[in-house]
Amino acid sequence: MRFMLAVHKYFALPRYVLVHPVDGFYNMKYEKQGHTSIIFINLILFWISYSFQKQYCGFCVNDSDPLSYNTFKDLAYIVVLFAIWCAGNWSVTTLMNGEGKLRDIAMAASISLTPMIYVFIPAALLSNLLVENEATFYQIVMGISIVWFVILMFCGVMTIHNFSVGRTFAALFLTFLSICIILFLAIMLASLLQQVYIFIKSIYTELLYRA
Amino acid sequence: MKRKLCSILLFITVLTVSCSTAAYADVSYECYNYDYWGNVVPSPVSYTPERTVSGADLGISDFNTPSDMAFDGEGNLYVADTGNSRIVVLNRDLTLKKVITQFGNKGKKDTFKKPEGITVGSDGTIHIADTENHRIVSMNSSGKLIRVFGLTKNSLTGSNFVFLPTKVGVDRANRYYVIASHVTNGIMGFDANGEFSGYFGSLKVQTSLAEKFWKTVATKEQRSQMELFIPTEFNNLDIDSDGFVYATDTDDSEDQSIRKINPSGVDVLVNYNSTKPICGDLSYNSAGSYSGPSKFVDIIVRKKGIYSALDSTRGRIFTYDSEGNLLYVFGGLGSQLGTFKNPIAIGSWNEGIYILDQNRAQIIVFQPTQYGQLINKAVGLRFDGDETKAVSCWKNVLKLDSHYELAYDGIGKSLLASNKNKEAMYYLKKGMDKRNYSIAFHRYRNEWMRKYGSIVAIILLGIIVFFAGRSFYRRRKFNRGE
Repeated sequence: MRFMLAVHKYFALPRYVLVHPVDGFYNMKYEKQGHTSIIFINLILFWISYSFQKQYCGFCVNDSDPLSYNTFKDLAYIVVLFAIWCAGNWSVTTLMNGEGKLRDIAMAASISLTPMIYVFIPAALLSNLLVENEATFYQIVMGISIVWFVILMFCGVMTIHNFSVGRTFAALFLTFLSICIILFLAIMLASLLQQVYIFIKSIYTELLYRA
Repeated sequence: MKRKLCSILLFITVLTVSCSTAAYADVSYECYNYDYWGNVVPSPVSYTPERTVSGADLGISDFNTPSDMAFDGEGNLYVADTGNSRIVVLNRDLTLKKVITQFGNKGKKDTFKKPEGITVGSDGTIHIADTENHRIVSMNSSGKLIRVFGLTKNSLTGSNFVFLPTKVGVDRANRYYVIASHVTNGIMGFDANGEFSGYFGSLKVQTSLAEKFWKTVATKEQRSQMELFIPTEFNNLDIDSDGFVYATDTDDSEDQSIRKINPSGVDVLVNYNSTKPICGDLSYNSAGSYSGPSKFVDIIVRKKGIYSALDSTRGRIFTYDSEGNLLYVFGGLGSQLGTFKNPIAIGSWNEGIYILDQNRAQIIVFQPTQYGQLINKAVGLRFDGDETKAVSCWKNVLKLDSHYELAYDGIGKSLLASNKNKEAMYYLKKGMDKRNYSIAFHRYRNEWMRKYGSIVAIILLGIIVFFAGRSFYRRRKFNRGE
């Protein structure tokens, strides 16, 4: 019972943010509400609900090939996207005189996932009772949770950096650009490293043949 | 020592021989199918090569780059032996019947010049695309000329257009459908008298939005440098008994590359698998040998809406049913029996499949295995709407290949028809048929609700009453300040 209460208290902030995003994120930043570890806890919960939804949603709405299920791949996608978002947003908002620290950005992003965590598993379970014509209901519910997530994300960025609405839009746009740049650089680095690897390998084989 | 070695060798030989005569078919190609998700699933062998027939086997000189062949209604096989400018006629048992090299035309002897296409009408009339004579020749089964015509000058083709007919098809109303070299406007239609009546079934050019954008931005000089967007050409055709023209095109993209053209020139090919276009292989290497998408060079319409298309990229025969389901794949490139160097034409008589190899100048005969026969039979019954009779066939198919989705679907459909919804759900799920699964599930759900709906409602009501009562009680206690 005490454990349940502790859990209840631990998730008080995400619960509050769900319906009071601006106040909730304000409390998170300035009243120091919520524990930093919620970043990881929420990410893991999101991973579980996302993978669950992908595998166990009803036959009529299931679009994933069982042969290519890989929950760890899902985890990698989630972590990488999350990291890139944090890095991109941090680098942009620092230049734009945002007040948020990296911790705030990560916490806000992670807490924003809450609606999807709440909706995905029940929706997946209920989708097992749906036929093809009713799949729209499932899609609407999923869509609502995603829109809700986007709204929370927007409010989060606005509150923790103390931006106006227009500035938040600009920040989000620039974050998107910086994410593209980061991805581009990462891909370029990977291909350059591959070239170096091939170069070293060919020298090695050459030496082998000469010796 | 030597004797011992000999006996061991003998033992090994006997062993290998007895192994190779085992029940499974040992062929020089791989058989597979694609599942709902587009993954390659190995399958049992559907067709095995039976024999080959070359010119020498028939007691005449070898074929020289033969290009086409066709069966008549009695099972006689007509081969257009292009390089030798002759038509070779074979009996049903693949022995020589006769060789047609000349025919009487207006009292004079006339010959062929590199004929590349041949077709035989249901009444036994032979139609030959006499390519380098720029004409179509029709003769009856005894070789007597009925009609010969070329392309008269007209406004639809340019003045310096050279008519090189390569393939010909004739429907029941004796209309001619001709595929000619360098024609991008579609199939050339000729009426029963040999008068050109216009193009038929033209393929539309598809330009993407980006291409349109660059066209508007580019200068006139740049535009002239750009690639011209020319519609893809048809390269072969076959006409079914209802008068639909099945045509393959030279387009080597991943889109649908078989058309079923109705008499008004519209493509009406059915494909219920929206994720799997009718284009042969769905996955392949993009570089290296045997790479690239499948390229169909010939098509044959078989019984019960089944059609088989011949792919020249990897020498495979893809067989589809009337709903666009891929039934089986066999064949390959190579030099062993059952593989081809340059497959050019496909024919079908009864259940057998005949492939004409241009490089090897041979006809290769394939016969279905038990697996292939079962599928053909079951699909035929399904085509006739006799789902219940097909069930036993599908069950036998599943014994040989437990991955065959169409078999599960067939069984599921028949169970659905007899209102066995729960069993139907099991099979339709395995057959990845979401539409019919939904119907079965909907019925099952209704049945269930009729049986247990009241109990569920009472339980739910009980839970709600319990929680409401509890919170009401607590609030009262709280208000009293206890």
